[in-house]
Amino acid sequence: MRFGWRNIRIDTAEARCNRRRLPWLLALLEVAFLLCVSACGPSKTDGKLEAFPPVVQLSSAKARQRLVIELIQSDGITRDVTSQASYRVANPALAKVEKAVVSPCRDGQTEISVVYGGQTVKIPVSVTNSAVERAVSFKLDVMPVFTRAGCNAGACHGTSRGKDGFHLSLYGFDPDGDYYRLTREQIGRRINIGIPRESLIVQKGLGAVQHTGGVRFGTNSDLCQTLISWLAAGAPQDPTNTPTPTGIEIFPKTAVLEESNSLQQFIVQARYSDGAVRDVTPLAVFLGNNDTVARVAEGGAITAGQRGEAFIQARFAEFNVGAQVIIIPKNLAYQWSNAPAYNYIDEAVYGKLKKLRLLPSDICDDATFARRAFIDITGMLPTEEDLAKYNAEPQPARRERLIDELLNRREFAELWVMKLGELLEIRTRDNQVYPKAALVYYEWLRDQMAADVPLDQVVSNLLTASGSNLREPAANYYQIEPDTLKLAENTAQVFMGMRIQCAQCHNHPFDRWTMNDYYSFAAFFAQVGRKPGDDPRETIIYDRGDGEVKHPVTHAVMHPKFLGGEVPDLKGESRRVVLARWLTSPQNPYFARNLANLVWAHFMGRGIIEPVDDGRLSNPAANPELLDALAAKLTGYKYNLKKLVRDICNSRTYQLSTVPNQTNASDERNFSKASIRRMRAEVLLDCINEVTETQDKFQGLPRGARAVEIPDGNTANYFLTTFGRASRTTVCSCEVKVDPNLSQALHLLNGNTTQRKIEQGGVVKKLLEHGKKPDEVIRELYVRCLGRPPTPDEVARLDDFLKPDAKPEQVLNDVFWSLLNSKEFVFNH
Amino acid sequence: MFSILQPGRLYPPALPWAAVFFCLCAFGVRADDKINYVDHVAPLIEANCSKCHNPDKKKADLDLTSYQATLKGSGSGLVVASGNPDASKLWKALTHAEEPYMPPNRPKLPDKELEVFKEWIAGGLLESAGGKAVAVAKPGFDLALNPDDLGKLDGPAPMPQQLPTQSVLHAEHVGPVVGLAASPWAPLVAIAGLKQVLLYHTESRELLGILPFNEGEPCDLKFSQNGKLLVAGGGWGAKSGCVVIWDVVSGKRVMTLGHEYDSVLASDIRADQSMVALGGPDRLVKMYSTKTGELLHKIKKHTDWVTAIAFSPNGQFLASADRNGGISLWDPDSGQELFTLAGHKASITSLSWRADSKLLASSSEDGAIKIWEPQEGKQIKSWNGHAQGVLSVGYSRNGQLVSCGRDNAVTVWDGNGTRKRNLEFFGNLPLRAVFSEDNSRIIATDFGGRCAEWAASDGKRVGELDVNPVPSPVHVSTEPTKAGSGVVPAPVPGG
Repeated sequence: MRFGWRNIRIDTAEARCNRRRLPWLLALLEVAFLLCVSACGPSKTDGKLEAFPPVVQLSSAKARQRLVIELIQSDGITRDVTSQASYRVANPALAKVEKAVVSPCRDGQTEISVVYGGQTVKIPVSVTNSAVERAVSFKLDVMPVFTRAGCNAGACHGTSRGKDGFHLSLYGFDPDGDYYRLTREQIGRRINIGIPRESLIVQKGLGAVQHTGGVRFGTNSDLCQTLISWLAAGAPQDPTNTPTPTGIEIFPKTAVLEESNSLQQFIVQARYSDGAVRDVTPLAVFLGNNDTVARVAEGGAITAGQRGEAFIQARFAEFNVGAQVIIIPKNLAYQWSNAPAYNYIDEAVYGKLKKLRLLPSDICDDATFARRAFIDITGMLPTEEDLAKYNAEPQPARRERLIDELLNRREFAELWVMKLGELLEIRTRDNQVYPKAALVYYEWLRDQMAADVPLDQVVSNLLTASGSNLREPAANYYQIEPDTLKLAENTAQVFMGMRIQCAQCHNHPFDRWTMNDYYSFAAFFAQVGRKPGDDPRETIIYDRGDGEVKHPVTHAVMHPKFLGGEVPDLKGESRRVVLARWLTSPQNPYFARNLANLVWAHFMGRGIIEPVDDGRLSNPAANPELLDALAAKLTGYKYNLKKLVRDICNSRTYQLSTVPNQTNASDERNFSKASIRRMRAEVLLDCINEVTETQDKFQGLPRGARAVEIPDGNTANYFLTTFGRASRTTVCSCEVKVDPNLSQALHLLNGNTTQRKIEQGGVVKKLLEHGKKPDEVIRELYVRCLGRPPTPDEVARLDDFLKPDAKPEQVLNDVFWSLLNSKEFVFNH
Repeated sequence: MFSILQPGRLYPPALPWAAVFFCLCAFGVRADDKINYVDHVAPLIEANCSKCHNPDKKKADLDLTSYQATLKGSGSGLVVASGNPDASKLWKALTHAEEPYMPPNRPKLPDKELEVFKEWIAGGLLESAGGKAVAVAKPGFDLALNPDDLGKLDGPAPMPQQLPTQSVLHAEHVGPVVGLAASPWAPLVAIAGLKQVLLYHTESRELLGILPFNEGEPCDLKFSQNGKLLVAGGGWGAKSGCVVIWDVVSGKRVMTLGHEYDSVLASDIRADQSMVALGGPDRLVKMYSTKTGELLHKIKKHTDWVTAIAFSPNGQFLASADRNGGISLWDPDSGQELFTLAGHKASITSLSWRADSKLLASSSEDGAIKIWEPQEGKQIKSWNGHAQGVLSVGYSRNGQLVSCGRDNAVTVWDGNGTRKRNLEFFGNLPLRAVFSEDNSRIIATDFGGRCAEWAASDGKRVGELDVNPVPSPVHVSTEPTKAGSGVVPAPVPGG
């Protein structure tokens, strides 16, 4: 991003800090050197031995279970010692272990002792039906073949209209439909029961005939053999009592490996409705999100690559699970900097940084902190008086006192009203949401925030609101979005940080949500009734007491079920009331985490889960411990927003400098340094107005009101639109754009906002009239815009322009203009 | 509905609306109260159609607001055919049988209202209660089958003579049997088995011969019009396809045609045996000369797999159909399209000509059986054959039809589409059904690899034909020269 410069170079915060950093760093290195000796070179076999899976169940003659043994070293590094460990079955007549794979011999209970490096771990084993060979089942055996071989992937036959005339349900969410399509749609073509091997489905998978998708499996592969044995059995449909998978689990859940070529095997176990547990590792699909960090091979073995983090996803049936992999350089000389932890936030952040062998940046200076806190907490810049008062406070309580003071300002609540207003899409819509409705809705929200109403209460009020949308403003939640399915989607996205839209048409390919989850969650909103009130602008929201949501594939009526929770007993209560009670309760694992993440993202420029409303499985939290800690605190604070903000702002992590050190230069997601953020549109405009002492007039508001206070998302304003203000047409967190672009730069440079406001406000003129000298004016302008006085270098350079023959007002206005166009002004750093 | 009632005319004006409604519901439309334009149709037009089809707007050059204008039709011709709703454009548009669907962007009119239109057209387009029916202009088709049009056969009916009956392959399960054809002159059916075609006597149900098909799986079987040749299209899915022709009497391969890159799903031979047409997943219809083996026409018209192909018995027409519901009629000599027969909404599963070549029947996964007239390319009849999809339809020599579908039923219809009976079917999804040459028997195959035979007169099952015969050592010993290998080398095309 390039904002314009005119004649003047303005020193950036980064450059200043760089100079100031050196002595610090030297001191640090010395300490590091002294401490290094004792911490280096832990022995290779110390640490904790863990064996996976915790329980082995073998329930047919062909059942197998792979074992994975992980050693967690004292330095946090994990090693896959599966092949080095020795295995002993307590009763060798019942089961045997070969190459870390358990197979059954005779029915009974026993246990396996895993021995490595002097440690022993025991795994209980139960063997049943060891003499029975289970008949091949379409759903249990054949459907996983299609997912494993990739046949039903989104780019192949899983796409909504199929490929080359053949359609399978995406990742197999509709096994009955797939059975029909395979056997009875194009009768006589896809399968050949008489000569199974010659079936088109087999020939295509083998790549023996033309196949756009190429070779999917080998002749002797288990996948091919499963298909053929099912066809040879006459391609039977499963009996109705066939058990269904109820969930899967991946082992191990985390791995910290050394660069490079370290290996780690992952295994996946599936649980079934009849209580059976199967090793489905060969049938699971393993995906990685970062191949340069960890390369995932078929079968679940990963190879460490370069330093970084990767997420391993395993898919089986309709389920997805994930495991976290961290790769660190081999034999890295790393010494923790002993940065103090101000509170629990720092502890959680440091925990992750230590794992990654990163060091946090230094703490930022007082001026930077003050400006940052003002912008983040109040959406305003500090005035000269504010700064004077701040600087007069004693150290070290100065920052803490400032935070407390800012939290009690009206602007803090207003900023959050705006943010929540975006999530609630407060916006007029033709013939649906009238200005009056939008206004009362906004005012209601403002009153709630001003009165410090706990957030769970606010959400509960919204979800359970009934009555006239003009007299019960919270009822506008149901007026703004009249569609049942979208209401469910929005509720999940805003209050749980879950995007469940995919599951409307098929099971979510990268998350836990199935179509069943989607429609049973939507069922909570199936009975919301709307009828016209007396006022033509009015709608009465009520519970109709009837209305259901049907599954589009099975046509079954879906009973309300909490997203990721249980099926509640409604006991004749309004479905919305039951939902609101659960949603805001600790039983909902997502509510507090989502809110905490939203708040965190506002102050840190990035969510722990990012984007904040995309909490899908394959987009895991950068620091789950931190998120859990924040969520627990928020719950403990009874959802008081201010208390959580106070914790965040008082953490050392929030107060870090933006200047990177050698370890964290490339780190963007672990909060090892402060992020440089462009001010969001409303705040930027308010700040420009503040420093230029000008006012804007927004529709429906008195002159002088701040942009943050605009109640209606439909309000047109060129500046705000250019700088990416949320249009509030969706609940998506992507509505607010802080990405810089050319038109923003041009607007600040050449547009009428900057220049006109400088002239309109006449700040320079007033200051000169008050008898200030040009250099005093420059100082004041610097403090206004950047929260700091000019550096001597800057003073010297600006002096060149203040020659006696120059018109001081003209020059000083140019300085003002330059300041407003500087990165240091536009960005919060 | 209220506007239909015209209370001022039929009932005392003082009668309240509710009572009027009750009367109509209670008595329905009285026998003497014939559905006519003024009293019944005009109010519906007024309510649903007149916004566009009025004298001023005249969308598509069609004005429906007066009786005369309605009869005059639209820019593309008449919209009502007296006595025949199925041939009336208005009816097809209202029932969404054909685009444009009317009224636009709205669901179909309620059944009660549709019934008014149907009865009005069927009843001869009366103008008013006292009006006269418009003469049924011209039937356009002759539902009666003239026995003189059936042609004659020179010499005895061709039957296999001393053919090998050694099974090429016996499998544990056979799987779906999709190829089935009955000779037009002889008591003979051909059934597609695994890599072979089985010939059975329809009376004695005796296995008369087995014709090996080593080019993959046979998909579509057809007898030539004189019953002397058997044509099988098939192949390996996504690999190769061809058409094999045998002499029925001697069991000898006459020729192999086509070198396709996917299995041939549909094929037929013209009555004069001059050409063979075939089609498959490549969406092309190809016509090969049987004299030279050369490709005469390659037609790129179908937008999806070609699923059915049938020459008319007189050789004048070639009909082809696809998985998208499209049917086309072609002039086999020029390869030019004569008509597009639009109406089916899902994959066409079979085509069958009536013996006099005057009617073509089609079946589709959309559940409908439709009858078409080839001279003008018009739909004559359409009825719901089998819910969830019709899998096959076939004419008998005397103009009846037999169909089967996904409702697990095998049904006999008369030429008008009136259900005569369902057969006693106990199998697993019937796939193909045909009449025997003398109309006395019906043979059908199913998904489970079985083939059964019924008496057409009462629908009772009379026996079963084994699609998966066990190779018998006795046969091997009496096998002529080619015994043992089971492989018949394909003769050179044109041979």
